[in-house]
Amino acid sequence: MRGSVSRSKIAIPLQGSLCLTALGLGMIASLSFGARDVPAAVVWHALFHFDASDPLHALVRGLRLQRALTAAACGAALAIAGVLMQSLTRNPLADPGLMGVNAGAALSVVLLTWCLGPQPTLILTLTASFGAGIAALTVWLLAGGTKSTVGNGLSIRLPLAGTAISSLCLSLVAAIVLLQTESRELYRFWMVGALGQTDIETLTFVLPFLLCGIGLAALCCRGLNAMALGGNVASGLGVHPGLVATLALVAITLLSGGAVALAGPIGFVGLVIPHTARAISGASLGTTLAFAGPMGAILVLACDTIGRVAARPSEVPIGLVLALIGGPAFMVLLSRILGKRT
Amino acid sequence: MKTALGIAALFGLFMLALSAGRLWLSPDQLLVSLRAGPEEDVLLWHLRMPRALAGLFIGAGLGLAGAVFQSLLRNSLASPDIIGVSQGAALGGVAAQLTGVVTMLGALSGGVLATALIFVLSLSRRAGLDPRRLILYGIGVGITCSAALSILLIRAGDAAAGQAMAWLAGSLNAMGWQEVQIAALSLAVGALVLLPASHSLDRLEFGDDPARGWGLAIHRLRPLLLLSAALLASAMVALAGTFSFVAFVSGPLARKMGRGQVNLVAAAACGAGLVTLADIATRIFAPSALMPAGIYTSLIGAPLLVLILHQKVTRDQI
Repeated sequence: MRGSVSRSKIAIPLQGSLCLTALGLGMIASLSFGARDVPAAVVWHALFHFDASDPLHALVRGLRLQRALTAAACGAALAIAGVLMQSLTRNPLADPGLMGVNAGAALSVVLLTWCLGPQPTLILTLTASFGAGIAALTVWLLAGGTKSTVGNGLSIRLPLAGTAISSLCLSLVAAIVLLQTESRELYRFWMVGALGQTDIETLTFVLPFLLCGIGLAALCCRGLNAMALGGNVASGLGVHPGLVATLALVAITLLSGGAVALAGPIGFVGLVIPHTARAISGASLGTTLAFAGPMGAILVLACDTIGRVAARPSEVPIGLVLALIGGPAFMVLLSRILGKRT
Repeated sequence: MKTALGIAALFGLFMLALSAGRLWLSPDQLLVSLRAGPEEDVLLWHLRMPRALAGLFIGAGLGLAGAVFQSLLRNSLASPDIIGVSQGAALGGVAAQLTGVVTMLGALSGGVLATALIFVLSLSRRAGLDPRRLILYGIGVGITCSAALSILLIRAGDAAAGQAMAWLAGSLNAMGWQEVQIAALSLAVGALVLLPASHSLDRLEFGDDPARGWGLAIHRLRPLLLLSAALLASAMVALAGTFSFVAFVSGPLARKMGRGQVNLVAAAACGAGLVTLADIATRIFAPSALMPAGIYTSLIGAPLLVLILHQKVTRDQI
């Protein structure tokens, strides 16, 4: 046991640098592959010796760079939100997508646009975060709130209630969109996440929200670690469980709401990445959070690149690529969790 | 007393479904049309009557299947439209539509394949067919099917995708006498298999061990009943698309009305009432003829669901 701990202590810096290298490679891949491939050398030049007259440079610096940055931000935010959710609910199956957060954000945005017409990004982002929070809270309460974590902690009610609330929100979205038949694009965007229409203004606007969320996550990390030992132990360590849970909920809402505002509903990043990150980092929540960010970014970047390459010259939206990978991944994860518990 | 009230309510809804629409029929006109017979009155006998009957049968089938699922899996959230059966049927149906095969066939095989997949995945050597595993894997299968379905819809042309989406939401617009026959036949077969099992279902709810003690062959009974209920639900989805929340809400609703025991007939009646109500709502309120009735079932069903969950009628151990 002690051997494994000390080994992981040596291994974590190594794995961290590996992770960051992979993130860099993923960025470069995302910048160079697409409807038109750009050689990696040209990407390098476009980034560090920008030449405005070269159309390839303009492509990389303009469209592709903002898309890659948005993808990375989304992935990191969703993964961190997933870690927080799983830690807070003590349910290994919690995920922004499975908990109805994404669908709630989509519903609130579509509802707002339907009632009041097109809105500026600020309002959209706030509304998306608000809808995300409401949906998450509803699912959590329906699943029994804090009581959902009794016993061995694997509550079926949580994913079930999440699925029910998601399908409710999505059918309402479908209803609204059917009422205004011209908004097919809106529908496609808010039903499956996509990175096709990103722009740098939205990203710069949402980024502070995401950074706030990450900051809060880091803040409540210690408290959540203590709460994992049980309520009494946490109180004994001077942790206020209610305060920590509220902070964590705010962080989750900011992170997943921001991600939804950037790219629409994207699922499974928050489910798969925390488990992978935990496998690397061990039980400590802080290290898991630190690993989850870059790993989520890598996953979303990779899936976005796959989606662009797979159906050239058009593209498969990122939400679909992730859902196709995520469904089976969910089941693999499930069989491992269930296998461990029986 | 409650039975009589229920029958009266259902009959009233049926009559309303016959008379509601762009052209309202007053009770006298309705009587005249009913007497006139199929040759004289096209509107009633060729449009509204099959539509209303199909709504009743389809709703009853969905409600029955949902109640059986919930009681077999001992979880009021575990209806076929949540745990993957409906999603499989929808995927099969849309795939069949896009490739030109009969939709009915595609949806039925999709539903059966999804159910089989859930079975195979959740069978464990130690626990047999464990409800918990079944629910969780069902959610996984449902997610995967929905993802594949979205891909099909996005890759399809606009016209085909629009048609498929209207079918998906659930609509009684295209119901004729042939559909009524299929629905009635499926419902009859389903009821013949499932209704006699209601006693065993009651006992199964006490848990696997007590049920075994009563001499129930659980390892045969549960797959058999689940498969029949899944077939029934898939057949209904194949006919008219997914009416979300009908299968989901009917069981708990029936339980609230009945005496807290498995009341399959009441669940079927609730389902029939819900679908008929939704269809009437589309015809009265719909801003466009394209609005599928399935959207109203989720509008009606969702608040009911929250209410039911809130009041903890659910006796879930999990």
